[in-house]
Amino acid sequence: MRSRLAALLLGLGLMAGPVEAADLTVWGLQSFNQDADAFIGEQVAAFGKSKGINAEYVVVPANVINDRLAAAFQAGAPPDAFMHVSQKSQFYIGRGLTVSLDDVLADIRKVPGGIFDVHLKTGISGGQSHALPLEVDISPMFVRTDLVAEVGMKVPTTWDELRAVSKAIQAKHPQMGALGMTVSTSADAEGQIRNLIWSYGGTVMAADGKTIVFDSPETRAAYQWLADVFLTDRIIPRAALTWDDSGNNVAYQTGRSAIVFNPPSIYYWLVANDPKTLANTVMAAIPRGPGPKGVVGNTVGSWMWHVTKASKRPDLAKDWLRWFYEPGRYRATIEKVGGRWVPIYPAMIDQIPLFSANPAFANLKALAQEGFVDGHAGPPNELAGKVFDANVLTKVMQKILVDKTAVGDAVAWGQKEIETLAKSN
Amino acid sequence: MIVGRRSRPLYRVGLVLAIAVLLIWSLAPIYWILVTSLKTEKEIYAYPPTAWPETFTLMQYGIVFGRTRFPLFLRNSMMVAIGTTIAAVVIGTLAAYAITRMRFVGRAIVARAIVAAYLLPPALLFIPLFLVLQQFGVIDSLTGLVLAYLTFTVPFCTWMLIGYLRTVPTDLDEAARIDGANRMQVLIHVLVPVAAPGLVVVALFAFTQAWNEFLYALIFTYSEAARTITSGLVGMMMGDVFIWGQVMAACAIAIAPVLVIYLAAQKYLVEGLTAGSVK
Repeated sequence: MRSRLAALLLGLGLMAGPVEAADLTVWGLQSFNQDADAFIGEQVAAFGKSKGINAEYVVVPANVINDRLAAAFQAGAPPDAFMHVSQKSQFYIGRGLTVSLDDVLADIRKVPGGIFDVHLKTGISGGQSHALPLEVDISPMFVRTDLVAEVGMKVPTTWDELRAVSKAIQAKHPQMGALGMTVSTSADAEGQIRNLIWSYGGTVMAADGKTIVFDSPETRAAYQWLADVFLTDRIIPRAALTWDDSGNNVAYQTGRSAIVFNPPSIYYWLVANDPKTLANTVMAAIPRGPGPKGVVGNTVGSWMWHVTKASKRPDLAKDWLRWFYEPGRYRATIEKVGGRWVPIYPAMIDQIPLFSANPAFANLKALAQEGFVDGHAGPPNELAGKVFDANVLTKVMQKILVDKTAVGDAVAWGQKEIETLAKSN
Repeated sequence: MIVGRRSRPLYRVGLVLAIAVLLIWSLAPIYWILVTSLKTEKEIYAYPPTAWPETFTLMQYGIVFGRTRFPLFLRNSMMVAIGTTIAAVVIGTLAAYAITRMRFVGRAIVARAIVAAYLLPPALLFIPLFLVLQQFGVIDSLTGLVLAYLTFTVPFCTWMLIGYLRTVPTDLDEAARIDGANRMQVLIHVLVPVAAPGLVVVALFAFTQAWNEFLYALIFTYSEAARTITSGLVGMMMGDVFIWGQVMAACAIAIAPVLVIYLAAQKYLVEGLTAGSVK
């Protein structure tokens, strides 16, 4: 028996393999393309080789990165550098877990044409950049031009036109849910309701970043528009109330919706699988809101690089970032991701044929340049991230669409919720 | 002639209908997994959806085996599940024997503590467990996963075997002891053969738990080299991009080992369950 037990323990021990800590550990969010993840991994390895160290790249799915980082920080063994979405940057920065990256920023600013400044905002704390954008995340409006032409209309440029076009398509094709707007509490829905509110001139916070001005006539008007199209016109699929982030992709890709808001992942699926629909698709700008305060309320986000304060090799981690941002390598990465990431260097959009020679991407540069980051109209801060995580804006939406709460009451509830979050901040 | 309730036509029709509903309920997801894994990506997104592939393709399986690390994840899952099962059954058997056959202070408390340990939700345990595994230097390794899985499989196996061993008369132990056997010999040569059906059931459940485990695999392993099927599947869902064809092909492959093992051990499973191991 003893010998059997020993054999068992030996077997288990052998399964462990070598537990070898890397000299530099970089955690990256899983991109939308397995080849791109592998490519970044190769770059980290090449960087390590150039420095004579063992550098490791770990791909982490977005839905577990918070748990993994929590466990790693708690254990005192976080990665040297990590990616995260811009909405979460202030969470880690605010807790003093990151170091300033001003010196890296100064270097990448020297690239001809500079970078999209708007995306730096989410990484700033105390006047210093603690997180740097590694891409620009935009969500244009996908429109089926054949269906729009069929009803004798044009690609909508205002929310009222969007409503009219969607109604006309729905009337022609009753089996469709013409407007595939996500009205659940998923991340996509959070972005889309912001598009609508910002367009109407509503905001969560005033320019000072402290005063909460969510309950405004503009915000109420935006929610009223949504209530009208969902409850009265019934042009948004009922299932959109429970969609996850893939819901609108599926609706568009299956032809069940004619118009959706989404990052270009739909475009790549069409390229690979459905050239016919691709030929009848345009990626247009977000519609403009009504009245003097109406704007194109395009929300933009980024994936951000952070270097952890607990890192034993912060300078090496920063060197990795410089390596990553070097224009030649950076361009190769962007090309590998296949356009799902828009480069942070504006000039590169004109240089990469994927963007410059493709009519479908004609609006990308403007969308990337003119977008609003989370926290609008104030600077990005931890409260903006908390409001996003707590799904306040989409819960207001669901109160109106599901519970049939009056728009004014639902928005007033949202204002109180945000104020409560602000007090606990 | 008295007609039994079970031979009445209405009863039989109702029974067949109920079984049919249950079968559809249970098998429909598996059917959909298999059918989807045999469709092209375009057909997967066809509307209305097709119940049977218009164009059969093994492309998704080809990609899963040829262009992803899924074979490695499969091997890792197998090693972790087998390692966990063996360790859990051995430790569980020893613990159950001690609790059912030996007299010591705090025996009842230990027995209850085992249940309490099993009932603790993994979401509460993953950070403390991460710290422990980090200290042992086994984070991101298969050994780390086996150790983590033992935290819930050992209490589970022990508790099940306590129930089973209690149904085995102590007269057998006493007879063996009178014949000169020591406790370990009694356990190995007398109780284990008698409790074999129970051990098989316990092993099956432990294997299934380890095979299906998701949260710890996701948190405690980083590198592809240490990933199991469940955490590897997450890699096929990239934000709003779900590679459904590959996901379904991978799921179909992942179902197979458990299905085969259950079918092979069906006889023991029924015997073990009815003989008292999970009463």
